[in-house]
Amino acid sequence: MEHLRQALAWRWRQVERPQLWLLTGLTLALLPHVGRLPWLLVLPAALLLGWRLGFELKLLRLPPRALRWLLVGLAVAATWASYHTLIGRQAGVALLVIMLCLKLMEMDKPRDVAIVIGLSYFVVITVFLFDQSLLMGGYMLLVVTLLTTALTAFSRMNAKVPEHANLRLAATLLAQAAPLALLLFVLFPRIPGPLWHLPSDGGSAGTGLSETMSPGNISRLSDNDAVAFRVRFTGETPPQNRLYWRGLVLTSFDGRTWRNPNEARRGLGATRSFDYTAIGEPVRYTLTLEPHQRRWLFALDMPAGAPPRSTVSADVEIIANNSVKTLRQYTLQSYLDYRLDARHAPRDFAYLRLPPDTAPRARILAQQLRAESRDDADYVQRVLDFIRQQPFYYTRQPPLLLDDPVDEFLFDSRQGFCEHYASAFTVLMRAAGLPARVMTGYLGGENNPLGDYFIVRQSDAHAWSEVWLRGRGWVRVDPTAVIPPERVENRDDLERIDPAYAARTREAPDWAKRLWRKMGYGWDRVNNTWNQWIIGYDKDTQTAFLGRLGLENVDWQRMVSLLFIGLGLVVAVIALQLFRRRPARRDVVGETYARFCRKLARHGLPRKPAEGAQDYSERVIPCRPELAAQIRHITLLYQRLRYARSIPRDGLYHLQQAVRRFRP
Amino acid sequence: MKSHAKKPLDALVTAAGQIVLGKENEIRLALACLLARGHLLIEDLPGVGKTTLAHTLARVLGLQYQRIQFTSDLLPADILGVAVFDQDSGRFRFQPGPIFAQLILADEVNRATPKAQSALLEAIEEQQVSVEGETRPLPEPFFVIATQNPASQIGTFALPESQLDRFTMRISLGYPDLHAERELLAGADRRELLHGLSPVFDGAQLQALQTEASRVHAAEALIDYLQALLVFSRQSPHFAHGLSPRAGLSLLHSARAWALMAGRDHVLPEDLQTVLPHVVGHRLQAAEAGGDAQRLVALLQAVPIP
Repeated sequence: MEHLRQALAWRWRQVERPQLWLLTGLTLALLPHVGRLPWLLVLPAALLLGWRLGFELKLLRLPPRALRWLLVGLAVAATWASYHTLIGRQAGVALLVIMLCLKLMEMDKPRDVAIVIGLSYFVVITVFLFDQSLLMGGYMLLVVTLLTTALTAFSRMNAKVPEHANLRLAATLLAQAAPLALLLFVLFPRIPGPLWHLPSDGGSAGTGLSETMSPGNISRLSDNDAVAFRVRFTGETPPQNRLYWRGLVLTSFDGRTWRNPNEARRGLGATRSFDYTAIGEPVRYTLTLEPHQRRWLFALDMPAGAPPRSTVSADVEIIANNSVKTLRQYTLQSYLDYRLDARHAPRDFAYLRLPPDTAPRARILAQQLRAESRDDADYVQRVLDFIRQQPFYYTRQPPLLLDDPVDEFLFDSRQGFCEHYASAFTVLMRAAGLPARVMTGYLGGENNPLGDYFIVRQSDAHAWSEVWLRGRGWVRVDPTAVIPPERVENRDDLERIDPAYAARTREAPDWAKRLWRKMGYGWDRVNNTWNQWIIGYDKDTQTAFLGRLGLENVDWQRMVSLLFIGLGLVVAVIALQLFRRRPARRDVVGETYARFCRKLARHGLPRKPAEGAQDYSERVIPCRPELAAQIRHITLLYQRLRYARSIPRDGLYHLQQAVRRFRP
Repeated sequence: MKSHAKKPLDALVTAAGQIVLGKENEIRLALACLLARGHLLIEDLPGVGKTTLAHTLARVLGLQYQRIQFTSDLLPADILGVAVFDQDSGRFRFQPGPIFAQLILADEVNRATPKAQSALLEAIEEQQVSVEGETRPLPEPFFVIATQNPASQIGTFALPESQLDRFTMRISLGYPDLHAERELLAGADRRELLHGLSPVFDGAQLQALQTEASRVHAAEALIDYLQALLVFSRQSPHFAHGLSPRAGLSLLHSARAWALMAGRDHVLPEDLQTVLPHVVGHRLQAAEAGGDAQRLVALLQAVPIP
């Protein structure tokens, strides 16, 4: 056992440290891709990394040339088998990863090392094609530091410097590069829209609302804390229970599922076909939407216009020209109070259509209630009263509805989530001949007091109805809101159906909960800042930011010249420092020793100018015998560095370390 | 790093210290002067052991030893030697003087006339003797220990500065301390002990050490310090005249020898500081009348180490 341990330790010492830095950095760079790549490629990549480590441990040999070619062929085949293509985001990254790992099998010259490290940096970039979060950014900074350390370690391989000196050098290099990176980030001209079109293979379903709604669709989101979007209001913030974030209109119903029929019509320039009269001042807000892979955007009723690169559909949905694959930020105005021009009923029968043979009991109820009503508005009120008076419950775990979800919900189970209520209510409207449709979107939002903005989460997803009433046009009706609080099963859901509830009840959470919530707010604020300023830094933000710096109306030509001037300035500052440093650099040893003397002088033991290091140490040690070993060590190193014929290896470094650690 | 020269040199100092009691530092300085291929001037009162020191050094170093007692009627020929007519061969034969030895004790050098003094000093400077048109080299190694009585004593011819400058070091012995004196008084006769002393070195070993001493490393930083000292002596208003280049060389060589004796292969500023008073003390003169050379040495010792 001991023998084995010793053998392993021996082999471990054989590993060249630069190789270790590289393998660590590369492995960490590949790690975020593991979940995205098929096992057919992840496994071989891991094996190749292990093979290289085995080679470094002098346990394995690298494969011969013929085998390497075979492996390359297999790698390409495996990629093709997984994606049926070799290009595009996923397949391209997969190919890069596996080929990079294969390159390790023939990495023996400095040139190969340079290629591998360069490609590893590129792998870091590809990670951001999938994840641009702050956490990933921090992680990748670590990886880049490791890779740079590998680079410094390889280039100073013969200098035999201690490993942490390499790490420190790499960190210094990165810190020195930071101003250049910042300058490039701020001034590099942004092209509106994505810089390159991501190949559309990445249509992996994002969480969030979909273009259909069936029972269980939205309740599934109810415990999903992921952020849907963040909103910052400029000016007055409306009350939370008026924050109906309008998403998609669902019109066609098949008895179970509501769909958006407009998917086919989109892009045909369908614009809003009715007018409205605004009442009062609009609210103005900036919304930062997390990528949800769909095309619709969210806005409060009634949006005064569409953000750039999007249009407003006839149903007042804001549809972007492309699906939202990266963080998207837009500023909008909405009129919370408005009057529609409601002279003409919608001509489209889609708002009345119900699939035949569905919900027979609901139809009967609708006929009955309509007959009792004075007019349409009274009918709406009667249906709402029905929901309020009958024992309807609001629950996250509604019973499964099998044959006819609407009838079963309305007359048997009477337990449901917002989609059950919206769906049933809309069916009751249509059954009575009122044009009606289902709206999906979000309700409310959580105010982050630390940043004065609202966080809207997936759990805020909501569905409600819109009914067309003669003389009033489309009117928002939220049937869920009428359920009395005592019939809401989960206290948390009270907030969902009535965002103002929590504020009213003023429940005082205990301190741990408060602290947790506060930390959550803080972290979300950091993320929000990251999103706003780093990810969301597009052409508009850039123009605004430069404007704030006093650079109004900078076109891209001027921006490029500014960029070059800035780069020139930074390089000039660095060059100047290098020049100025040169004479000072001659006596690093003396400076370091002088620092040591200053440290002792602060404790009343200054060195006399004419006192030699030896005499000084002999004078000082009796005063501070506990420091004797350190003082002797430093003195000896200094004397050797300054006066001896051959300078000890790493002497200066050790002297600097010893002086740094010296704390009298 | 440690030089192997330290051990034999320590043994040498110990052996000499058995005869010259309580004067280890002076023995070391004398030895350093010898290793630096210099010559030593001992200035002190009669009877403090100058002769014994010289004799002891000659003994432990295994050197030929000659003593020249300088008197006011000493002639150069008494030092260098004369050509005498050999009746057998019918030719003049050179009769070498006492200077043809490896270690010379020039006792009470300031009692002789300047003519005799300069004969000695020229010989040690040139490392050779020219008599009657023939040049004869002096033996190797060649080491002169001159003693002189303090200038205040009667019947002395003070050595001029130019000649003092030729001595690498000047030391004084001073009275022994109580302990050493008691041992001296109670112990055996020094002269008998001296005869019983066996050499620690031979001439070749000493020469090897002299070579090694000359190779001790003096770093740039140390030369900087040495130059700072020289410049200071030349710029300060307290000095009648600055240190000569020869003084600078003497300082460097002595410091090298001192470093070798300390077992190092490089010179530290402390080495320079240790030998400094002995190397420059006899070369300095204060600008003010009645100024003290000791004070000038103190000024030099306060020059910052760069």
